[in-house]
Amino acid sequence: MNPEQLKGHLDLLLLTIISPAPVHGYAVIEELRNRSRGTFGLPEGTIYPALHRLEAAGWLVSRWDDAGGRKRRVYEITHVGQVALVARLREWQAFESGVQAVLKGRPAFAPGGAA
Amino acid sequence: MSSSPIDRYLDRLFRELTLDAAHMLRVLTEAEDHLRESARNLETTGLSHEDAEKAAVARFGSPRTVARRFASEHGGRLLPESLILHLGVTAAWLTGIGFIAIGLSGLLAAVFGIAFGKDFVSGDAPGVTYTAERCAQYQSMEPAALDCAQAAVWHHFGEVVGSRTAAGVLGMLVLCALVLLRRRYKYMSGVKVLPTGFLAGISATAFGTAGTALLGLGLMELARGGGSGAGAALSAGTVAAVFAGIFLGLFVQAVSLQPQRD
Repeated sequence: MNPEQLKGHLDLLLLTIISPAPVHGYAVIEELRNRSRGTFGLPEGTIYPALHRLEAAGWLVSRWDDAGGRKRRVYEITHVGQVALVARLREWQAFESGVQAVLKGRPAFAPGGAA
Repeated sequence: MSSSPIDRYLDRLFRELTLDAAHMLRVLTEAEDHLRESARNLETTGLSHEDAEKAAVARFGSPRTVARRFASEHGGRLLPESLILHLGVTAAWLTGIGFIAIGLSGLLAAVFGIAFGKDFVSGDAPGVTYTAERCAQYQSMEPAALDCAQAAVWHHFGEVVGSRTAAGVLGMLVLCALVLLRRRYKYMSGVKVLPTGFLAGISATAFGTAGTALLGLGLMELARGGGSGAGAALSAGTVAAVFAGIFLGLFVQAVSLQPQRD
């Protein structure tokens, strides 16, 4: 899969993975690969800039943790991040249902529009 | 002495990154942790230590690709929400600090009143008179005053000191709320969005402008009215000038600590 296709949805995926519990960067990327069964094929190092951007947005917070004598950065979702996750999830669901409707050859449901 | 694939990769990544020192250290530490963890896991699949490190490095992406992504994420692809949040929080800090400065100017005005008399702070300019009705109001509010003029001065002095002190208390509440919000929602904890010294620079400019204007006004009143009422502007201008000096120092310190980039 072309990594460019993932760009618009990466925030949603990262927030979803981090949402349940604090997790370090390597585990985030492992989880992303495992859950997607390696579909995205992103260079692992390019996930970190996205994590830092989400932190700058106030959606994530991070802290250093000690992992067997090595420093490790652990990420945690914030309240604002949870709100953003819900919004991104709704956007994705609307997008997905629209695409599915088109692919199945029937008109998409338009809220407020004629049936 | 030969270095491992991960060591060589980190050296190259260090050369490619264009971040400030603190952020660079964080990125390299995270990258090293990731690469060594990845290599250790790959070794469990049967790869040699050397091959596992090479595979971990290959998965991570080229140093140039990673560095460019960091540059773009922190340069052109900043989330609008992020900028709005940080600007809003900075404006709130500035508002709180501004109110505290006003509160301190109220305390200084009170000191001026004790040292030089209330007339120095809230005395009217020469020629100012009040209607009989207004005089009656002032004298009813300040029954110990000897005449209308003194009652007006005392009343206005109380207004200057009281309203400014109240603003100071409000400023303290704003700052306390910001500290609590930051703890609760953990805003602005790590990655820097606004330029280094942004708040200090804005504060120094705002307080410097206010201080210059108020001190100028106070000195003009001092020259024109023989000191009557000059203390209100002079107290505010003095505090603003002191705050401007403090923030200018913080701004210079923040900028001088910024690493030079090629």
